[in-house]
Amino acid sequence: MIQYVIRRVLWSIPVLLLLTLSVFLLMRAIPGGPFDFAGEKLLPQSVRQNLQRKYHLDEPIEIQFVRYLVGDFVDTHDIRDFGKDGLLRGDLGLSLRQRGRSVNDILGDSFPISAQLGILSMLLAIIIGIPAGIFAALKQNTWIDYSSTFVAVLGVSIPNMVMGPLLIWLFALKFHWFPVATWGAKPPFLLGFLPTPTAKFWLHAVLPVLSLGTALSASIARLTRASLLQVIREDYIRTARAKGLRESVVVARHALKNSLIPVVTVLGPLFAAVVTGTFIIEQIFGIPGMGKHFVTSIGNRDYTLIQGATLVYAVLLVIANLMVDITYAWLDPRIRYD
Amino acid sequence: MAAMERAAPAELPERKERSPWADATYQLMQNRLAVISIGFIIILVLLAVFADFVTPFDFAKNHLKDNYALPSATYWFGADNLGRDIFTRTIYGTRVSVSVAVIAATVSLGIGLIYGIVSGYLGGRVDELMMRFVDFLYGLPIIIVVILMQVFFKAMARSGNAVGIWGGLIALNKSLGGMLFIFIAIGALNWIGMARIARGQVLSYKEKEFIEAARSVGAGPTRIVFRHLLPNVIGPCIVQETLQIPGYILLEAFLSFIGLGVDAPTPSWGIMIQEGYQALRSYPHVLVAPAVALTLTVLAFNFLGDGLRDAFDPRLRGV
Repeated sequence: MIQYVIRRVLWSIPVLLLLTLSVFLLMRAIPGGPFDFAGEKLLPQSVRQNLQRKYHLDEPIEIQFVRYLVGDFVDTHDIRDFGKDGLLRGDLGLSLRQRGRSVNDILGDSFPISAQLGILSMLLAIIIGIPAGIFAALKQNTWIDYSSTFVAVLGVSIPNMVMGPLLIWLFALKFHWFPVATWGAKPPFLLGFLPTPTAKFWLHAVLPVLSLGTALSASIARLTRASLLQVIREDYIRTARAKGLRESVVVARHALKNSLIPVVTVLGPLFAAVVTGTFIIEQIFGIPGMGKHFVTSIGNRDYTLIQGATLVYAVLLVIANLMVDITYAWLDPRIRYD
Repeated sequence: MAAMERAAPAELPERKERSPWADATYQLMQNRLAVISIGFIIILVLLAVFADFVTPFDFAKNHLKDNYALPSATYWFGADNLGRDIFTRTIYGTRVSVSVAVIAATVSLGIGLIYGIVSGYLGGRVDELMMRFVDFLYGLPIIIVVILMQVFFKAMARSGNAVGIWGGLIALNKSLGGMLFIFIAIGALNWIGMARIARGQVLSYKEKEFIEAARSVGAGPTRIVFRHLLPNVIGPCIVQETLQIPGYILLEAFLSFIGLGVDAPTPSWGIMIQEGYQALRSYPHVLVAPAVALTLTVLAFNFLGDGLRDAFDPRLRGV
């Protein structure tokens, strides 16, 4: 198992490098550059050239990429500098548009907020979705099944951009139960990502977590139901029933674990996506999370920021998929990694 | 077991023999939600085609003194920040969503089927290589790539000095209100899931006896693929494609919401929802029509996709 994990981690390194290179090249293929405008005003040619020189954007593209990876080592050739100011030592560089701020700083402030929102939403989704799916499957073809399936389809069909404003209008503007927008915690966070769990934090979290979580829980419920229905028809379930086990034991001890495999498969990538920020929800609720960087930094040609944000997402995806594989082995003892 | 089988036919109602397709159609028609959804989608398509005849206004015409007008006999669903009729814009919005649904689905199904069938049928080295490429594309974050492509297209269109094929594409895109590039951006990566499914299907049928029989009587590869493989492979692929359509519609709405969608003043539900959200505090009625339209459309395609899946997969049917 440990060997398997190490092999997977080592494999992910070239994949991550290839992805970084892809984003690096694609961004530079888009016409326009980071220093075309200051606000609405077109910058003069000379200023642009100076800025490009300062950020090394005037160098040949392959040198730029090597510099992004190993930092100042390109100039000094001093082995002690290898990777310093570069990706290989975890330095994502300076933002090209937010002058004076490093990408590490920007993501360090915004990622924890997205992660708090994302983890709470995922928890809500799992707590509602999995039991609802199990319940619907056990009551297949009764009105309970039909109505919960209907609600689940409705849940996956209401887009975030509809659910968010609806909740704001109803619970913030009409009833004044919850604040309209913004997030209830600010950096610096405990241990770098934990919010102080004040009443303010929870009040602000309710509406965005609800809008994100309900949609997720609906799709998890659908998946759980379909998967459990398939497992429950397997031969070993018939065997368990034939042994005279109670139905609750058959479901809880025999069917459930296996039926969770497809659910876990989806949860992994979903987790990586949700934790790195959902643009729409963050935009609608005015949450200063990471989601907006994926959109604005491409429009702004903030090369380093989009590269950094994509990399964080990709690393989380690798970790999440690894966790999924490890969970498989726990859910289904037939799965072995040697 | 044998006794049960002999006893069973007496209790079963008489059942005509049907081809799998006819059987699936029959099953689909038994599903009330799916039938309602099909009806709704047909109405949507008709509205999209005949939008010019249904709507009382020009979708781009401003009536500045009527901005944010409440619903009335003139403006059925009210008017937006520029006094444009929301009913008219919602109806025209169906054009974008329906075209994205149809074209993205067709492109994805087409590329995916061809790629998957070629890969699965040829097998060996070619298959290996083609599937590694799909694996690589799978690793790319789709949303980021779609945003990258849209920003690229918009920048190219704005720079305006493109010639040759680029110039033609940009002109065509402009006449479509910006929809062409959305089709390309959405279609570019969404065929990979389909390619995997098609390949899997081909692999499971390729070694079956009826293919061998066809080959033994001298059928060439073209005949085998088109007469014997394709009819078997296409069913599950169409089901899967239908299940993906809500995703395409939502992706277009997302792009329009963030300002990377169709070009103003072409109406898209995503843009209208964004405008409605901006006015939520004082004029919540602006949001209602596009939000309901988008939700109902996604809902209808979800019900249709579920219905198709159940119809084609007897195991999921209620016993």
